[in-house]
Parts: sequence; C-alpha cells; structure tokens
Amino acid sequence: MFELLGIFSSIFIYFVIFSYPFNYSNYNKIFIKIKFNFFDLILLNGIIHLNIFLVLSFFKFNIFYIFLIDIFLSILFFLLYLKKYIFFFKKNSKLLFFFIVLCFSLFVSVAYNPLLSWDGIAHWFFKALNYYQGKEYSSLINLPMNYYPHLGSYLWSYFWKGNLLQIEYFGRFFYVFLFLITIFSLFEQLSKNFFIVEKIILIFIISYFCIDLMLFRGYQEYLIFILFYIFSRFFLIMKNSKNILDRNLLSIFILFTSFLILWSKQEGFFYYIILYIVYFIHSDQKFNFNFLYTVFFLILLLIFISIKIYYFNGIQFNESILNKELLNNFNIKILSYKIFIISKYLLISFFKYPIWIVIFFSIFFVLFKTNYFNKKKFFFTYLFLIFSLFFMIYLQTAQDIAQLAPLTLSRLVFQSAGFLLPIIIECLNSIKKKNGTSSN
Amino acid sequence: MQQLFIDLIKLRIKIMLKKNIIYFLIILFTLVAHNTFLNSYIILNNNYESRMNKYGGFCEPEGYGFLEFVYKKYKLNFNLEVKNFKNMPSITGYFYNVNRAMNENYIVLIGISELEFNNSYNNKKYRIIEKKDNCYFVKKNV
Repeated sequence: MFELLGIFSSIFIYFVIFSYPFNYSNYNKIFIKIKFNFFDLILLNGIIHLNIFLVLSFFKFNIFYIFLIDIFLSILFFLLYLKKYIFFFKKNSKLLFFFIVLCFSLFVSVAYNPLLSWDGIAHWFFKALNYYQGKEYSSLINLPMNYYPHLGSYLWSYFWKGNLLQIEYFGRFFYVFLFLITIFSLFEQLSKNFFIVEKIILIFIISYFCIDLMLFRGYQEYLIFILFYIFSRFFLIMKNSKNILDRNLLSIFILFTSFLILWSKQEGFFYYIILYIVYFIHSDQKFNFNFLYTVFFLILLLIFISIKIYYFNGIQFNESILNKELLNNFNIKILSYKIFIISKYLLISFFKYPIWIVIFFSIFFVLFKTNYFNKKKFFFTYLFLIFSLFFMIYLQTAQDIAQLAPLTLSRLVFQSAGFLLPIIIECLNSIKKKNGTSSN
Repeated sequence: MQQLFIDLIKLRIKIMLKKNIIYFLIILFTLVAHNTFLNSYIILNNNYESRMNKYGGFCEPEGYGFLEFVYKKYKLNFNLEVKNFKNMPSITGYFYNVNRAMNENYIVLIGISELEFNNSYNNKKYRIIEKKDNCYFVKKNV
C-alpha cells in the first residue's frame, strides 16, 4: 500500500520540482514576446535543473541534501504562485487529470517488474549506485564501462535518494515523467480547432506508439529522445520569434540542451555536433551571434574533452573510430552487404517504433499539402545527418553488424525520433484546418 | 436534510458522467491498456523484494534469489563476481556496494549446466560452497 501511495505521490513531487524557476506567471519577465505552453515551461525548468545537476555531479555533495534544498525551493515557489496554479488547474482540469492518470499508469508499469534490463544492470546502474552510495565522479573510474557518460545515472540516483521508501525504481520515474511532459508539450501546440477529447485521444495514441517499457529499465534512450524534442521545440520557437533578445536567450537554452546530450550517452558526442550544424545552418541569427554560439559550443566541448582526459585519459568509445574494418568498405561486395543489413534493420526499427511511421506519414503529408517546410528545412538537414551517422557507425564498426544491428540500431532510431515530433502536430493541424474549411 | 444532500450529490455525479462520458471512457481505456489495475494489484500484494525474486527468479533466469541467499547466509562484506550462463546479464549490480572491494576468489555461477560445470569448475582449482539447482557459489583454491 505504501509503495502505491509513494508512486502516486511521486507524480506531484516531480511536478513541483520541475515547476520552478519558470512558471506561467513569471516567464514573461524574461522572455518578452514568446508564448510557452504550460508543459514547455516544465521542460525549460528541466533544462535548468539538469544542467545544475550536471555541474553538481562533478563535486562531492550529499545528493540527499541537494534534494532537500531543491524540494524546499520548489515548494516555496509553488506556494508563492499557488493562486495562479489553482486557476490554471481549474481551467485545464481534464488535461491535467489525464496527465496524472497516464503518469500513474506508466509509473505502475515500471514498478510492478522492477528488474533492470541488460544495459541497465550491466552498465548504467553501477553509475547510479556510485552516487547513491555517496561516491563522487572520480570513483566512476573503478566501475565497468567507466567511460560511459553519467548524467542519466546521476539523475536516477538523485530521485532514488529523494524518495522516502528508498526504492531503486523511483529514481527511474523521472524518465517517464519528462517523457510524458514532452508528449503533452507537443499536443499543447494543437490548434484550438481540436476538442479536448480529441486532444486526449491523440496523446494516448502517440504516447502508446512511443512507449517501450524495456527502455525504462535502466536505458538512457528516453533522456536523449526528450532532449532532442526540447532542442527541436525551442529551435522552432526561436525561428518563429522576432524579438532579438528572446532569440538570443533561447539560443543559450538550445546550446545547453545539446550540452546535456553530450553527457547522456556515447553517441551524444556526435549528436552534439549534428545539433550544432543544424543550428549554425538554420538559426537565421546574425553572423556575430552565430560566431559567439560557435565559441561557446567549442568551449563546452573543450570542457567535456578536458574532463574526459583528466579522469579517463581521453574520450573513449566502445571501439576506436579508426580501425582496420574501415578499409574493408572499399570492397564493394562487403560494402553493399553492410548497407543491405543496415537498411534492413532500419526498416525493422521503423516498425518496432511505430512513431516513425506516423512521422513519415506526417512528413509526406506536410511536404505535399502545405508549405511548412519552406522555412523549416532544418528537419531535412537533421534527417540527413542523423541517418548518415547511423550508416557511418555501422560501416565503421569492427564487430559483426548482422549481430550488432538488431540489438542496437532500433534504440538509436527511437531516440532520434524526438527531434521530428513537431512535424506530427503540423500535419494534424493542417488536416483539421482542411476538414474545417471543407465542412464550412 | 441528509437524504436531500446525498441526492444532490448523486444528481451532480450523474450530470457530470453524462457530460463527460467519452472522457471517462478514455480514462478507463488508458488504465486498461496499460494494465494499471493488474499491475497495481501485483504491487499491492507483493512487496519490492518478493517482486524482484519473482521476476529475477531464484536460480533462473537471472538468479536474483540465489545471490540474495548467498549474501544473507554468508554475511559477505565484499562484492561478488556473478556469471550468468543463460544469455542473461550478470546481476552483480543489485548487491554491489561501491564502498567494498571485489573479491575475485569467490564466484557465483547462475544457470550453469552440469556439463559446463564439470568441464570448467569441478576440479582442484575450485571448491563448492553452496549449490542450489543450476546455481553455484564457488571459491578458488588459492
């Protein structure tokens, strides 16, 4: 009974923690002309929190005390704006009640079978244990796969330490919570032509297409998925914004979102570069600002590399990037075999995670029926770069790709879908608009 | 007066249900689709440890119960190496303590077949400390 109560109460704990510093009443003091929805603000707070946690993870602080300070501040903020929150909750009661139901359902799905899956127990859990049991960043050296980025595991241990029952899986709820916030933030962008019931049905369907419970058992895929979405969402807002201050401020958030990806998984290193290229080509910012963005991009990369060199003697991957296998790619027979295998498992991955089928449908619909992509070509740049990366990873590896691709490719495909989610909304809005016009 | 109050509440609930019937059906469908009722029932009836034992198995598939049994019985103050022979991940992590050292002289073997055990571990180099089904707790003879 206590466990179930604990699960239910953690929805509110996560909610309160991620409700500050920005909320519906105060964000306009900093962002002048941007209109965020309620869930966007939680994601914005998430980026601030996650970056603070990232910095704290390098120092030997007791995470329980950090949690206490965090929860104290968040409750303070919550009480300060209580009236506004009550007003907002009353106005959006149906949507928020559905959020609580969905969140509880998924929390319970994670909790009933608390076992971790393969990578979860073999790699990521040790890092979470390291922080949970009071050790610091330097102690990661003694653990298996020590060169894997640690951000997800730190957050896992943080929320694990913060729950009263001290049960491990409570720490993994933050993936579920932020994932649902992502989906709700997405569907808050639906036009006003949609009824609340339609919105809720769509949220259910899309979230169902994105849910893979195995990935909540210690994997980091959802963290990347969420961060990709946040990048894409803020980038879109930035492109639509005409206020220079808003644009610049959002660019800072965008940079720090991609910085979090760098610390989430090994492939995050390449994602960080891809996101920079997307920003640099498509941001429509002035040259001076783009130059400044590049400088900070390099500084953050340098910080990452320096830390890795200091603790792990350099950036390590599962295998060295330059290896003998690369030469085999000059053999046309081997190359075509590899391309066939990669394409085959890419196709399988799209069906394994049907959100990709929805994305492809949306891309084609939006491409042929609207002019949305005229000013949003960055989606195609991203698609090109991300699929090139997938091919490069598997063409480069010295391992047998017929064995490796079925195990790993689908997860890469899943996490990269986060970036493309806004296209679904554009598709739905244009379908609704068309139906609305024709019926009129 | 009390009856009137109850009737009023009943009426309000009826109106609310009628107005929001589709909404409530979606909520119900969501709960059913995610097995929330069954999962909640499992959580209510089995505490965390028993669920870990149930899904991790005593000896197979992951040997959670056997490892827990070994740690409890022998009150070990070091970390153990766990080898799983059933194409499953090693569950060393569940009982790992970062403040303790790994003692490589002790090994827990999960789901090892008799043939594999006889070939690799049933010799002078190892001594069996504990055996349950296909799971062994062995010590290297140093």
